[in-house]
Amino acid sequence: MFQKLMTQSFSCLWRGKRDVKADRWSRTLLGGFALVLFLGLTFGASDGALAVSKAPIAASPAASATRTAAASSTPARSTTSNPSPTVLPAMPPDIQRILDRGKLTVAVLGQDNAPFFMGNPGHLEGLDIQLAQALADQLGVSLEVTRSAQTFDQVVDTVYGQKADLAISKISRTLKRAQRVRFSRPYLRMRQGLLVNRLQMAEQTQGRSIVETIRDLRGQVGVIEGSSYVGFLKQKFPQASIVEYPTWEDTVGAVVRGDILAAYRDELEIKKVVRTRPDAALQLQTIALTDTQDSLAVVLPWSSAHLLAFVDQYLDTLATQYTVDTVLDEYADYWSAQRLKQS
Amino acid sequence: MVTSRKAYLPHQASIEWLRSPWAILISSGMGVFIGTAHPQVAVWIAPFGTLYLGLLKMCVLPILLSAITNSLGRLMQSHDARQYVQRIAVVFPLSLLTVSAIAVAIAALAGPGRDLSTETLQTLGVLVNQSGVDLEMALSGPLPEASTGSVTTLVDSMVPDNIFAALSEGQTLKVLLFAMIFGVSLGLVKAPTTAALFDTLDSLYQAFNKVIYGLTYLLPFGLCSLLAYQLSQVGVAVLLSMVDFVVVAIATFALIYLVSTLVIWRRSGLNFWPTLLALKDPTILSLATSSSLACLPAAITSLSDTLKFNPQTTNLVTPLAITLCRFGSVIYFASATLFVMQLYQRDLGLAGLGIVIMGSILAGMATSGVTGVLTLTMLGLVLEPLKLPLEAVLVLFIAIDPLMDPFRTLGIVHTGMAVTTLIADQES
Repeated sequence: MFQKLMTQSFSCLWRGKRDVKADRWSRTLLGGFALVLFLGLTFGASDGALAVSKAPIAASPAASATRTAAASSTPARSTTSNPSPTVLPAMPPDIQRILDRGKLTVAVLGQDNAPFFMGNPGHLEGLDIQLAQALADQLGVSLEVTRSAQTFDQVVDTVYGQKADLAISKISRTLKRAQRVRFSRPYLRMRQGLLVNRLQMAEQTQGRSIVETIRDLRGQVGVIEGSSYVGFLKQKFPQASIVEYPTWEDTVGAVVRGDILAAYRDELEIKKVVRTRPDAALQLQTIALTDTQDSLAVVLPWSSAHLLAFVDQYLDTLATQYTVDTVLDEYADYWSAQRLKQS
Repeated sequence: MVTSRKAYLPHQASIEWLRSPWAILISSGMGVFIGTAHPQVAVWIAPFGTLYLGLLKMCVLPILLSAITNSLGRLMQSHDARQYVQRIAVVFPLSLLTVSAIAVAIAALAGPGRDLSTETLQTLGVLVNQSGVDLEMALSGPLPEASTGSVTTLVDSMVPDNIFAALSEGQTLKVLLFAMIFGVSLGLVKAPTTAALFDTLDSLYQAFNKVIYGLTYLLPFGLCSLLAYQLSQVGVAVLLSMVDFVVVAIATFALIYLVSTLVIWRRSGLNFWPTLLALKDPTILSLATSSSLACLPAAITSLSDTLKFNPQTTNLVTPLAITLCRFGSVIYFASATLFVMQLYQRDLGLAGLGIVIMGSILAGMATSGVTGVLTLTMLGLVLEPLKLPLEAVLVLFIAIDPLMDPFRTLGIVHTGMAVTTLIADQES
């Protein structure tokens, strides 16, 4: 500021002198002015810097005062220009649809899969059901579970066809599914696992450590017919021979009897076997493969961008992150009750 | 030594009463009562037992070093060495074979682990699950270090590259080997100056023996505390599920204890009752401390002082028999292998039983360099050639070990003493 004043005054002076038309003088003056201008700039700049650094302190009360004035003036103006104050700005359409309907429709697989979803229609329980209920509660609507789908891919199709707002049904995040639907953050991070028959394994080790033996797995490994684990098995254990079984129970039975060396599925199903059948635990060894993953996530239609953000934020705010072991511990009572019922 | 029955009565010599069988009986009774009925009191008094055990162990290395060096050196000078080395070379392997074969025979006949009920299998399975034996591994990257025991670890644990490191870390096998080499070379030095060193070693040995003797006055207190703590650590549910194995193993130990006692009795030439009295201290100490080394001084004292075996031979052979032969571990591994075999319904045939007998000896001897749970992992040495899995059953053996360890120690110490009497002659 000071600098600007100086230049202005000097230029006035300069013009005045030219009016006198003293050329010789003007040349000397020009040199002198240049010097003064230089000095003025140098000092002025430092002064200006000081002024700038001081400015925010001085300016802030004024600025805040302006802001408050503006704030107080805006509603006044809006009341005058907008006669109906009750109309709120529009909600995101995907949320609005749920709020209008008054319920959150969640697709879940038709067959029970403890500890994720199990029980009769009137009284469903499980980790996935808990999560669905919590989301519905947070939205302030009721929960409706549709269980028409018979396979996991059908559950994904239900969401893709927008017959449900979202699906929470032990669905693994795969790239193939991600082409059609959106996945939330994982709510349970799992790894792939092997269920190994200890006796068969002892035959195979031949002085090597168990880790070495597994990395170079030879022998028969069971998987569920047509599941994604058929592909994983070919990729991770090229030396092993694949035996496909129609159900997981058949696969586990074959391992317990020692017909095959191991069964391959996600870590939770593997650990569930030794928990639900402790009498076979001496025969069986569970192995979690730390550099593999099989994460479970909420499935949403590709258009539900805002609902996805809502679900992600809810998962972020969860106080405890679930792990395979905490889930198994939480539902330990359920299985012991099931065992009692069976016997 | 106490000779008259009157000496056991408490109204005589008050402090000497602490050394009488009555004091031992009362304190062990109290220990059992506290350990089973009041486990929290057992944990509270446990530090006293640890203190007692620490004091005992303090004396072990000096006694080991001085006793072996001294006796081996004198043996070399007296030119009897060859005779004793021959006896050791015959008696040690034969006794190991006998003991292992007896254990296998009993376990094969009694068949622990055969046809277990589903409930028992469930209890055992729950325990296996609880101890988290899930393996977490990566399919790529460097291989983790293997921690299982093998024969090479035995060789590694025998040769001391630094005797002071071995002494300060209490690596018994290395100290043993050093003492033997030192003793032999000292005996080969034909100079009168060695007499002074022999005398020094002798006084060192005598001094620590005094400490051990003094500690026997504290035995009733230490015994009560150690027993109570041990019993409070035994899981009852597991014990009940594995009861047939526990019973068979303890019966085997008892039988071999009886045979060993008979051997000692015949060799000592004393009456049966004084022999039993002489064996009282090492027996009780092994049961109470579960540490064969801590019982070593008591074993030597009872053999040489009370039973009057040649002190030089006793000083040399007892430490060797106790630290190397590990009869208790051999017995335990033989029974345990048969249990695992029958648990997994594997029929091994005679050749398989032969592998068990030899493997148990090897695994048992391999425990001499290790302590704690690592002792039990040596079971892998027997199971691996038989292609039987170790991890799951290891959990079970660890669970019952607070109960089995005292008996295993008793087997190590007592049978070691019996073998010593087979080698050593009586003092004339």
